[in-house]
Amino acid sequence: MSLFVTLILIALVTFIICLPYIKANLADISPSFLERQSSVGPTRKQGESTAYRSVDVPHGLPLTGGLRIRIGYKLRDGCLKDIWSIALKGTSDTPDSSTASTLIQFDNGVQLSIGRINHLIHIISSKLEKLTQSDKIGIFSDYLSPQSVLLTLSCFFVSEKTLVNFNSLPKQPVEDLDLIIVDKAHYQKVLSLGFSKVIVIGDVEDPNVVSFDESIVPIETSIKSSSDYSYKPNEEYMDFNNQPYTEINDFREVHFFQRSFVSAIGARLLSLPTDFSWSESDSLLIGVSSMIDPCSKNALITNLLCGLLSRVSKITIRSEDKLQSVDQYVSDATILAISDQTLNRIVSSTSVSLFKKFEINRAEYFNSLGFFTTIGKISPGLHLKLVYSLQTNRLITSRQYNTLRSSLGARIIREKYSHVVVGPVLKTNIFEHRVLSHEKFNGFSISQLGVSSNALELKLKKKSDDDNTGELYARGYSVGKGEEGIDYDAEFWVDLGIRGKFAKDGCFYEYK
Amino acid sequence: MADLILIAVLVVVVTLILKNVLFSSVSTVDVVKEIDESGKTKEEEEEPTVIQDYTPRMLSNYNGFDLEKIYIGVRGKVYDVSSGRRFYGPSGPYSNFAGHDASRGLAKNSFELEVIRSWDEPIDDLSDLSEADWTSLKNWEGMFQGKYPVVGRLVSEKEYKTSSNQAHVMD
Repeated sequence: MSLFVTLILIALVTFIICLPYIKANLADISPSFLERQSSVGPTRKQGESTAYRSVDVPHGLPLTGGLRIRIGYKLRDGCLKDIWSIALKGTSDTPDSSTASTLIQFDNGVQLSIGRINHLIHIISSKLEKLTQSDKIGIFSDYLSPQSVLLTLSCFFVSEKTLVNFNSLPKQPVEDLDLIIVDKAHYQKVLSLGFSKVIVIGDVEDPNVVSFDESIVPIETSIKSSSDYSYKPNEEYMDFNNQPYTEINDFREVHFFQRSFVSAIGARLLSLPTDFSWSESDSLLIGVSSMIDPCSKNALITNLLCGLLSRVSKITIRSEDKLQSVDQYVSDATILAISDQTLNRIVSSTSVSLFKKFEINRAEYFNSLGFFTTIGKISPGLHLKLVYSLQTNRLITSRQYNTLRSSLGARIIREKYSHVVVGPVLKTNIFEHRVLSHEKFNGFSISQLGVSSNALELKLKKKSDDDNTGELYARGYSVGKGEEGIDYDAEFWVDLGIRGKFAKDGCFYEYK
Repeated sequence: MADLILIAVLVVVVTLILKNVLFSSVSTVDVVKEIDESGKTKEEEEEPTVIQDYTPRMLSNYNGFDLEKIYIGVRGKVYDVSSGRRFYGPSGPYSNFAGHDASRGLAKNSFELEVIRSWDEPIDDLSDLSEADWTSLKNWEGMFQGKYPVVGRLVSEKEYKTSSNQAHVMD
């Protein structure tokens, strides 16, 4: 046998021996990790499951309660004002200064720097103080206008007032609430409800109401920039309105506290691997539903606060109706937060060549094995590193998610939101790549929703121990407080209205 | 001849690789295996303990000797201290507490048998404890709450008969 043949054979045998190690190195994550994603509690009650937590915060360790802000050797959970204080760092009073701080672009094209927003939210706060003596401000909006977002930021970061967010029109005004700010499209419905002051976002020709621009402040890009913020993080961190936000769904109030927000933000950002952490070089695109959708609003506020805290270079808020394909907005983003239906639509409506279809098909194969590849990226301009998909009621299958991962060339975290919890309730692992063979079982459609957020624990309540599935309940820092006995039980477990079961891998699977 | 064999081997290997790379379809996980209760692994067979009511008589079985698990009662709650077997298990320093209401012993910081009531005696109401005893008991209770799971309540025989949380374990 010649030397050449011997060498080739040695190379071949070496390759075969090394193949398992090469595979392990190329894989995103060890398959064994995906097979055990939850920490399972040691006890349970009759007719209930045990409590499930993410493996990041196993039983015996505390859930993520906040932002872990360091003061000397101590860590504290922080408050909303800390987020704004961090976002303002490096902001200059000069409007056109090139210091690195976040830009926010709204759906109507208005783009404001953090300095300008800081000036505006201080004006909004002082105007609100003059307009009402009440500690509460009402809002009924789809959150696509700059006014609605700035009002929220003002209540969170400057004003000590509680923002009462209506997701449906109230039957009667909330106690101690006399001022409501409403979108132009809905103001006539609100007029008859007895609020003493109604401020409309947008121009209306009606002498009975005043517009936001007239009575509070016009949102103009030429406004002054300011870095003034009176909050002193190391001294005044206990000085805040502990209940900055209330949501009204189906005429019932759910109150959220400072900890609800900081725990949700901390849990979301601190659970990411270092390579995928949000940073100043990132650009965030948030898709918002044009319907008044509590989950979409919740996701917007969560993403906005995450973006501000991480000081991403740009946050773009855009109506999902306007996102029809992989356009300039999507191409400019490195982090995309959008509903699953819109994500599916923008990918499927982007035309690709026959060869690209073949590349996507091959990327789907490798991605389904856990070897992440970007060869299937449908547009060369795309440079997404992370996609958050808000799971709606019309769920996308795991096979479709594999196609989306392959087409976008980005990892996708699927998140399930609820109107009683700030931030996501359930999230899939960033490296989740498994494609389920057929998502039907015993006549039910099954969908993987993932594991609990790091600020929460979850359990199922069943009719009996023999039941295969149950109703999902949540308890933790990011859960809001509704009415005792109706919205939560004696142990603070809140019904999420989702039916399903926890499988062997620790993930929750919804049954429909 | 050797060259021919080599070429044949290489062709087979390259064909296999190319077949996988170019033509294989998406790899899937069987959802039924993932979801279905049957076919549990050994780990899943370890079901979480169901929280239920225990009488002193039932509790006495959980001493790490008659039954493998070790439970102790503290102020009306039953804790599973099996993970602290080296303390509470047979021949451990606090083994007298295993399967018993340990409240008085913890309050008095005594591990002797005289501070522990037998299973056929009424549950200790702790009414004669001093302030210092209560402080000690609450400190111990705090430690138990942070370290061991609560698996139920300690109730009298009379209360147990009307309980909706009766234990499934034979006493």
